[in-house]
Order: sequence, then C-alpha cells, then structure tokens
Amino acid sequence: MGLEIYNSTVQAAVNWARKFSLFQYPFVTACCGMEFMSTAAPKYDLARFGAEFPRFSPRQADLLIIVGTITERQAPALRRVYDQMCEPKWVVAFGVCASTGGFYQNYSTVPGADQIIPVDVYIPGCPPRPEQVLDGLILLQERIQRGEGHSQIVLKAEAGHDVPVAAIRPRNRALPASANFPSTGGPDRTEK
Amino acid sequence: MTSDYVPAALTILISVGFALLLSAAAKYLGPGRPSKAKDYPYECGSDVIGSPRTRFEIKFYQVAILFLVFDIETAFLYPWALKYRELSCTGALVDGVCTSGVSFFGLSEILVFMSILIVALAYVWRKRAVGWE
Repeated sequence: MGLEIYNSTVQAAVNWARKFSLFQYPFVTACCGMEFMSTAAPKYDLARFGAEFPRFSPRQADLLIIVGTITERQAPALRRVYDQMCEPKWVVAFGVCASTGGFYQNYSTVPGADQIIPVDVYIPGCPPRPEQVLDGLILLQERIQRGEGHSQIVLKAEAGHDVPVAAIRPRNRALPASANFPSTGGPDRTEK
Repeated sequence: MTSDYVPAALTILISVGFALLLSAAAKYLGPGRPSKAKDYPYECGSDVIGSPRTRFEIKFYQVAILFLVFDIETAFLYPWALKYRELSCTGALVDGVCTSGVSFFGLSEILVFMSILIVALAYVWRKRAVGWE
C-alpha cells in the first residue's frame, strides 16, 4: 500500500516534469506551418508552456506535431520518424488535414495521420489559429499529467498494469513494404 | 595559491557531476525500448542512400588552407590598424596628434608581413591552387 502511494507520487512528479518540458519535432508538410511558426514566435509564444525547443531529430524529441497534409508517399516517412522517437512520446495532429485529411478526398491523401500512428490530440482548423494550438497543447499537458497519452498507456501495459484494451490503438493501416524494418533501402546496407 | 584553484575545481566537479547525474537518471529512469527503427540512421524518415564517410576532393582542402592564410592575415591587420597612429610617431601622442617626428616603423613592419604572405600567394598562384578546374 505504502509502495503504491510512493509510486503514484513519483509518477505524478515525473508526469508534471514531462508536461512542461516537451521537446517538439515539427513534421511540417504544408501551409499549416505558417500558423505553427506564428504559435512558436514571440507573439503567441509556445515557450510559455514549456514546449520551447523544436528538435529536428526524433531522437531528441518527445512530441511529434504533424503540421499539414500527409500523403501516401509521406506516410512511411511519418511512421519511421514516430518509430525513431523515444518513449514516452506524444502526437498532435495540427489542422484538419493531419486530423482527417481535410478537404482532400482523393487517392493520394491519407485521411488522417491516425491511420498511420496513434494521435493524442487533434487540433481542428484550416489552418487552426494559434489560440487553438495553445488550447490543444494545454489539453495534451492535462492528458500527460493523467498518464493517458497513448505511449504512456502502452508503457503501463508493458509494465504489467491493467489498462483498458480499447485504449491501445492498433496500427490499422498496412504500409508498403519499404516502410517496414529491416529497411529495403540503402546501398550501404547490402553485404559487402 | 592552491586555494585560488578551488572555485575552478568546484565548477568542474559540479558540472561533470551534474552531467553524470543526468545521464544516469536517463539510463535508469527512462523506459528504454530499443527497436530496429531507433537504431536506424535518421534521414528525415527516408531510406539511407549512402555512407556518411565519403571521400571529398582535395580542392576543398586547398581552399580551407588558403582561407586560413588570408584569415590570419586579416586577424593581424586589425590590431595593427588600431595601433597604427602610435607606431607612426617617434614621440608621444597628445590627444591623438603626433608631437614629434614621423616614424615609418608601423608601415614597414606590415609591409614585411604582407610581402611574406604575397610570396605565399604568388607561390600558390603559380601552382594553380587558386583556380577551380
């Protein structure tokens, strides 16, 4: 009993630290990037919420912000970047294109990034205003504090805790073989 | 005497200790889920198209060496230019004005320095190192 209280206190402290030190990886593919820049710039100042550093390597980031349309060609790259991030990690779909595909209803657009990777927070808008982005970030922070981010739930399940099965989202979209590991690509990967 | 170095030693100790503490915390507190994807080189999500250890042309090395020559020349010219007025006067300066005779020490000094570099430039020019063919 005492250990449980200790564990929950430590978890609360760790999650508190996590939610205010998000290192974001901006996966910017389209025009929503302008609004993202506006949000990150001093006027709206994303840094106030601790999400200050854009890191352009997934190895240093724990928040993947998908900013813009994800095409079928882009999907394997997005999956790989997500896979290369260290746990626990969170995903924000920025704008309707990343959330649902938006007004694109064609053969080339993925109808929502959640077809590829689990998304924690969806920010609607075409593009969303910076206030909406900040609102989405605060929602994500609340979710992180509760320990309900998707990868947090996965980690909890792996540690042997009971989690609702529905909380773990399956990867519901098969990607082309080139997206899987070991990778097909790269001349230097072949045996010499 | 030795006590002068205590703050510096303390700074080094604290910074190294803090770095080690953070590394250890990351190692022991982090979930640590290794995977093939994480071991794979990061190329913005694309497949790797070649080794990073490729061979460069020797021309780049030449350019770097030449840059160094002229860079150092500029670095020496700046302090010389600041001191030029004093070096050009045999006596003392009063409010920036020379009160006695004119000296050519500063000018001749820098001409010697420049001529050495100009010899070097003439040499590399003749060796066709400044071209890019």
